[in-house]
Amino acid sequence: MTTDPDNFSFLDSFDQRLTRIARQAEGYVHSDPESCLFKLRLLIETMAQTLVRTNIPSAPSTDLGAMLSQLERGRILDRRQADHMHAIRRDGNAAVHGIAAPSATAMRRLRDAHGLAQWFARMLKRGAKVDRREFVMPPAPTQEMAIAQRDGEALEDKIDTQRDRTRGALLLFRDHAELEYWAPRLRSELEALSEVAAVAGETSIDSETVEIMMMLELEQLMEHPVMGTTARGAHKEATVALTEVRRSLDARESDYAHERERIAMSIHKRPEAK
Amino acid sequence: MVDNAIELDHTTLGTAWFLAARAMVVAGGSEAMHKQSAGGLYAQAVLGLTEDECIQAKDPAQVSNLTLVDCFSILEGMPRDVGEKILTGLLMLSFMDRKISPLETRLISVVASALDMTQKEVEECCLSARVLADVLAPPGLRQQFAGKSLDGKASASS
Repeated sequence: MTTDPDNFSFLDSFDQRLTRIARQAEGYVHSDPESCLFKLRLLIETMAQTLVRTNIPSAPSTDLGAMLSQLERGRILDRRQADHMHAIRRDGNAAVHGIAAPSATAMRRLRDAHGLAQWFARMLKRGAKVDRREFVMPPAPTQEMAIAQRDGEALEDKIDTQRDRTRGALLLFRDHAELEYWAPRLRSELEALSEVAAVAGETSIDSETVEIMMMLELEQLMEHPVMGTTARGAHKEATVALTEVRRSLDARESDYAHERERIAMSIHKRPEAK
Repeated sequence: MVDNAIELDHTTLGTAWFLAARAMVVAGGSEAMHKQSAGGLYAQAVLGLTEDECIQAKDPAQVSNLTLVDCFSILEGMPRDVGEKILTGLLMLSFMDRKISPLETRLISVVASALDMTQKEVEECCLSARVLADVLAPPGLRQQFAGKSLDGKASASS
């Protein structure tokens, strides 16, 4: 007989709906990982709605992906929180579409959600005392499930490492510390450069042309009598190049999904697991 | 620029790109994630760098001693087509939030000057950059800017 961990009870004093959803997710983590992921997606969607409502009420979108992007742009979410929320959104979406996931995936996202819930509680009531207890993994009910859990954990580690690498390759600054290091240094160089260039009579770009281009919508630009041909060519070229990169990133995610499915299905093939 | 053009290895190209792109987002005062990831996507999709090359190009051991002047020196030796891509990418980062600061304008001017580009060539880069900024903008952002002019007022063309 195992005791259920008490990972989310601290949320009660902040938002009881969240406690209920989080506990349901926790209850499903071994028995029904897809339902767990679905509930976790609902959990972060509820959090995101509250954050948008209280911080950027003029934000137009109610779609979770767009809400997260708005919260990132508004600097409500930092990189770490955004990463975790996007991971839950992605895995929750996959679960809704019937893609099987092992309990290790659900457990990883449950742990992410625990950290997010603690952060969310602090955001909701600034200065409030929030339980900072570490996440406790709900124990696997059978030995077979514990073995599958370990296999899945290794895969989740690999996925986390690769996603971190992909993100590191894409972003200009690896993290906030790197930004803090570079921003003042580059700004000061730019300001010095600007002073020198102004004295030397360095020609500036034609701001008027730039402004016209910025004001025009893409469709107007592509139909423009002078700029249209170049704009259409640039659009086609950019779309092809970006599609290629996105396709390779999607292919990688698809490989992860297949590997997860394989582990998830293997547990169902073991009679002891039932 | 053409006379002293050198064969660029991808790490040097990446280092020049990421250094200039970092300077551009700092100049614009917005280091938002969508701009940052657009910088990385551009490196891979348009400049043809691999994930490993992007990581290596930003390795502190590779870049922490470099200044913008070093970056401009690399740009001066670049083949014309690559130089145009760098300038287009920088303009794209600047265009993403549909406003352009004096420091961004200055950086664009200095880069164009290092690449020895004419006003017409810069304008062509501007046009491609404007298109790319739209292609790479997150949907929510595109919606936010639809029909807005530089100062945020509704434009006559909308």
